[in-house]
Formats: sequence, C-alpha cells, structure tokens
Amino acid sequence: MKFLKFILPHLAIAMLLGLVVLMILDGRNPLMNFLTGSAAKTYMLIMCVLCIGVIAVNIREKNK
Amino acid sequence: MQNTDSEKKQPWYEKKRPWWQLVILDIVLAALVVGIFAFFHLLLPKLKLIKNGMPDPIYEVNVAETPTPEYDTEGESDPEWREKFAEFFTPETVITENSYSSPDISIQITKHDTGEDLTYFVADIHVADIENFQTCFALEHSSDSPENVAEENGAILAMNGDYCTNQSEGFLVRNGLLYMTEQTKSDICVLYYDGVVETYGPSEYKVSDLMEKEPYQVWKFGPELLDKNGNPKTEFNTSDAIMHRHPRSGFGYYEPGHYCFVVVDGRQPGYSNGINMENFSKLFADLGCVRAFNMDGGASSSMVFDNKTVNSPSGGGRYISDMLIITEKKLPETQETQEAVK
Repeated sequence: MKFLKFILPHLAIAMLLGLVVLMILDGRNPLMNFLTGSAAKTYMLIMCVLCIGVIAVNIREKNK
Repeated sequence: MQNTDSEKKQPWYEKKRPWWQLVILDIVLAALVVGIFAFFHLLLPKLKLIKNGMPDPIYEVNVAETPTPEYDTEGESDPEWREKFAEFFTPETVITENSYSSPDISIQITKHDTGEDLTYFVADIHVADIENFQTCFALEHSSDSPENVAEENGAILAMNGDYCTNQSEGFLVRNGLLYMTEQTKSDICVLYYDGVVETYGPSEYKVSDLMEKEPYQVWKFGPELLDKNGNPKTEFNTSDAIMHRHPRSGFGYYEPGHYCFVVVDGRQPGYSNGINMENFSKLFADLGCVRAFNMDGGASSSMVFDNKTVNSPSGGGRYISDMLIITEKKLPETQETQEAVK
C-alpha cells in the first residue's frame, strides 16, 4: 500500500506530462492521429483510472 | 545511530528525497510512458503489417445488392467514355518517352520548369473504363520502391498514394474493397464507380452514407485542394508544418474518365524547392480541374511511367506502401473477388 501511495501520484504526473507531449505532437501533425487513435483512447482511459486511484487513496488517507 | 539504522531499513520508496530527484523520476516515467505509447501507436501496427501484409478487406462495397453498374463489368470499355475521348485513344498501343495510348487508355506526361526553383510533372489521363484506374499495394513487402510497386502491379503510369498503411485508422476503400471504416479529422477523396470524384471535409460526410453510394476508391491523406466550385482554396484542413514548400503529389479530376496526376519535386535547391499548399491548389485550378486532393508528399512524391521514375524524388525517394495506377490489367471478376473476400 505504501508503495502504491508513493508511485500512483508519480505515474499520474508522468501520464499527464505524456499527454501534453501527445497534444503538442497532434498540433504539429494532426494526420498522425496522436489523440484520436485507439492507442490514445486506451491511454486516456488508463489515465482516468489512475487519477481515480490517486484520488481514492488520498480520500482514504484523509478519512483515517 | 538508531535513526540511521531505521532509515537504512526503510524501503526506497519511503525514504525522503530531495525535490529534484522526484522531478527526474517523473520525467523518466513520462518518457517511459510516451515510449510505450509510441510502441503501440506506431511500431506495433507496422510490425503487424510486415508480418501479415495488408489486412483482408472487410467486404466488397459493390457486391451484395449490387444494381447492374452503368459500365460494363466484363472488362470492356464504357462506350460513353470511349466515344467522348475517342480523339485520345488509338486502335493499337503506342508508347513513347512521355505518352501512352491504347484503345482504353491515354496518358500524356509533361514536365514544367517555371524557372523559379519549381519543377513539376503533370500526367493527363483519359480512361475508357474505371477499372483502368486502380490503387495498388506493395505486394512482396509492406512497402517497396515506387518502381517495384508499379511493376509488380502492371502499372503503365503510377503515382504514390496516401501511404494508408502509415495510419491504423481512417476510411479506406481500394478498388471497391472496404478496409477501414473509421471517420477521422482528415479530408477524404472519393472516386465513385461512375468516375465522379468528390472531396469531403471531416464534417461533410458520414461513412455509412458514403457506403450507400458505393465508392470505388477512398483516399484519406488530404487536404482537399479545391472548393466545391473548383476554385483554389486559401485555408486547408492540415497542420502548419505541411503548408510550406515541400515536394508534393496530387490527384486532379476534370470529368468522369478524365483525371491528372501531378508530382512536384522539392528540397533540391537550384532544381526545385517544392510548392506550398496554396500554390498547389492554384496549380490544379489553372489546370482546369474541378476537384483535387493532396496525397503523401516529401520523399514519397514519385511518378513512375513505363517502370521508370519520371521525377526526381527528394533524398532519392523512399519505400511506399500504395500507389495510384493506370493499368490495362482488369480487376478480378466480381464473383472471384467476392469469394476471395469470404
């Protein structure tokens, strides 16, 4: 649990930074479908789940 | 001393770390995440393509409840086009350095040197049957040199296409076979069985509606170069990076049975520096086209006639996956194609 508490926020930050990179790439060349491809959709889904996980852990800590 | 011991026993993730170490960790993780994304988005589809070749088409567009097409499906020419373009066709096949004519096909290639670091090639094409105009894939490998792709597919004239295999999504129909059905934000160009060409912006079509009209070819690179009245455009559905002077390939439409391929050389100072999108649009309007569509450019831009490259591709060219071809070779019979699809 302690490991999760440590790594989840960092993973969330990393994925958000990655998303910023993808947005820049998509702006440069929208034809490559960096944001609309199936890999991007999966990426965003994972990111959403991760963010929910981070929030859940935080709320749990607060309620302890 | 006790404090140091307890710190030593702590696992690495529980230890307090300076902020810069955490920032580095985040950046490394972000690079890893982007790397994994790139693998799934770019590399994996290519590896699959190398291993399996082009995926099987989903189904033939024009088979199930096909009304009898207006043109002859037995591989003979459309009498209307034949009559209309009679002056361009010849009873026997005649081939010269820059022209080709036969009972079904007429091709005339002209080189234009504007003297302003701009050289381009225009292939004026008349066909008597829509099947003389096809899109082909690299057969032996997922991509090959334009000359090999043209030769393998029996092309008289070939121009690079939209490099459709570089994207795993889009709306893609080739020779009446449907490969992909996703709507993307790119423009598309549709050639119908009756020889008519239409270009659409992403908000101007629905895949299901177009499928009902039974397209013969759908290309997906873009952007469209002329507006719905055949006038040149000044704003295009593409990124800024693509707007500047580059080598380019484009496909133009005059009327059913009459088309043109245009290839502009570039990135070769002193010979040709390419053309920007706006001037490329004007070029098609000046040629008299009513619809025009930009294909893959850069090092891909290539035109092959009689198995020889006509233009001078930048950087020596590159391997490509698909080409627009003019050929005497007819497509397989509908029945055979249908069985192949099954």
